[in-house]
Amino acid sequence: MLTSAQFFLGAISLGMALFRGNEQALVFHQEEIMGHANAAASRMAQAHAWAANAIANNNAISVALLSPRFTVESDTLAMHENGAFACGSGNPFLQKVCAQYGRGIPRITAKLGWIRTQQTGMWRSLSTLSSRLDAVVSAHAEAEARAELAAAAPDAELVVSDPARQRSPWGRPNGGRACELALEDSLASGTLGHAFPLLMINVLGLSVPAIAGQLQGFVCSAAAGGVQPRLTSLPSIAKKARRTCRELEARLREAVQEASYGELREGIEPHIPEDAKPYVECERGTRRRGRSAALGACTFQRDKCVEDNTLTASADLAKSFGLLGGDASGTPLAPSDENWNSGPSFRVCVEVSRPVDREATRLSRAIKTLVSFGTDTQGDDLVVSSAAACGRWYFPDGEGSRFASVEKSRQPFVAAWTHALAGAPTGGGR
Amino acid sequence: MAPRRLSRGVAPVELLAYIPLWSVMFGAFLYNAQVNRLSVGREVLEHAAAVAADTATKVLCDSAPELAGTPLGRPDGARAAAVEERVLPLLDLVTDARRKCRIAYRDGDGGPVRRVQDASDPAVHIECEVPCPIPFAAQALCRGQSLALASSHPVRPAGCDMRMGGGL
Repeated sequence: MLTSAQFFLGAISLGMALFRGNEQALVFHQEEIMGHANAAASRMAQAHAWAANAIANNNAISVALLSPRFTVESDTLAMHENGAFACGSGNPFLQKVCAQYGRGIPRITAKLGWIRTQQTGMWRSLSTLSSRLDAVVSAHAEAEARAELAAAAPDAELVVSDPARQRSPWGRPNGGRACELALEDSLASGTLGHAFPLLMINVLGLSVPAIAGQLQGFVCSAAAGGVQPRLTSLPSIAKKARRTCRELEARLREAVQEASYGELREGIEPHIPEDAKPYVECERGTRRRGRSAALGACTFQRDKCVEDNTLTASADLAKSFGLLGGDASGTPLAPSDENWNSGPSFRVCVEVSRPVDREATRLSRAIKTLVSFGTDTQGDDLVVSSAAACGRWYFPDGEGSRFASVEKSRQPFVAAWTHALAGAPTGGGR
Repeated sequence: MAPRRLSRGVAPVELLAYIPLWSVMFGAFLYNAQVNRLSVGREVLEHAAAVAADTATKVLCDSAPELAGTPLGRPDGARAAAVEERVLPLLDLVTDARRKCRIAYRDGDGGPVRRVQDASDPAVHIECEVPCPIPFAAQALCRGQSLALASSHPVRPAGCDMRMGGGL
């Protein structure tokens, strides 16, 4: 009797120990795959944060390359302006300046050509690198995570969901902002106006920083924000525009004066030159000969004419000077998602699955039911075969961060991006 | 003639002699069963606290749109709900989790955590009343019909831009 009792107690104790062992194995299994998922998500997010910092550095380099270009471009324009003025004058001193200008042309041309080639070439290369970096680091990090998982748990599987693999999260051209920052650098550096050779002087007293500011819209069209740029700081542009408008107005006066009184009384329009029409406004039927400086009831909008011709002359000069608009395929990049710190494109998720021993599960369930006298029939929430985790990379501009003061538009140029573990999307388990 | 041994009534006497032993054996079985239930309760609670800490680490400083209604670092609202969503099914294995369990966030001094950015050594603390249904053993092992079990695990979220976690 004693022996059978000992057997009974022994069997019960063994069964319970087995049950607890099973439960612990299930718990360990779940926590293990959770740890693998966390490690993989963290590794991939870290790789993306590294890529984001590399891209921010590329953007900063692009700004650094554009800044001296502003200096050389505006200095060169100022030199041409001064040279044209000096060479058109009979003044002996200005003739000397003209000669110096003529000798300096090969030098400034070479300098300008080099800085333009360097800037555009480097911008294109860095932009290409930036647009492909995330896909490359993602693939590399995934390979590392897979190797680690294979060593730790050969029967586990890893599934990665990374939007950056299909489309770079840095897909928005950001040349406009880069241009603004480059101009800020140029203006602050004090280099503007220092490209003149020693004997050449700024005879017209031009403001080179003002020229640089107006060049911004030509060098990077995105920076102009849809406003057509104009080079009003160059006297030749303003002079040309005023001259063109004076000529137009003169031709208009002639046309009005040539019209007969009868034609005017009958309301027949005088022959207004085509290129003057946009600037003429007439009051139909009230026109009288000799009124308003011989223009009758017609008025010539001189200011509008000068404004338009300044635009045209600026564009002509920029074209002849070889200034092209910003090339979207070769500009610094910003995140496609404006709200990058919480956008789905800056998040990578992984799911690790590993099969659970079904026999252990069945045994565990049977003993649980037995020990609880049939009352414990709850679900199998301990039996988990997969775990998901996400990692995100972001710019730490939140409260308390040392980068909190970095304004949003500057963040793509600051290499302070970091990463953190994040929850999996709803339904995927956290 | 040898005296005749009286053998009538031996079996019931022997049976009576074994009753204390059986009682002890049955009591040991009941005790063992209750200890086992409490041990499993303890293990599940520990596991739930580990899962809660893992989830809290991920969601307290996450900026996902579905959590945007609750400020970063605040262990309430959608962020606390995300933790509960993961943990309550586990706790349901050992007790009626919604009624018998409490999930709290405490700092190193045991005080409540309002924002993890401001807390030192924040931790998620789970306390549950685990039922003791086994007769006799419950009286010895539990207080009344249940026993309070508790577990605490540290939370280390990054992304709230504070000193901990990401180090920024």
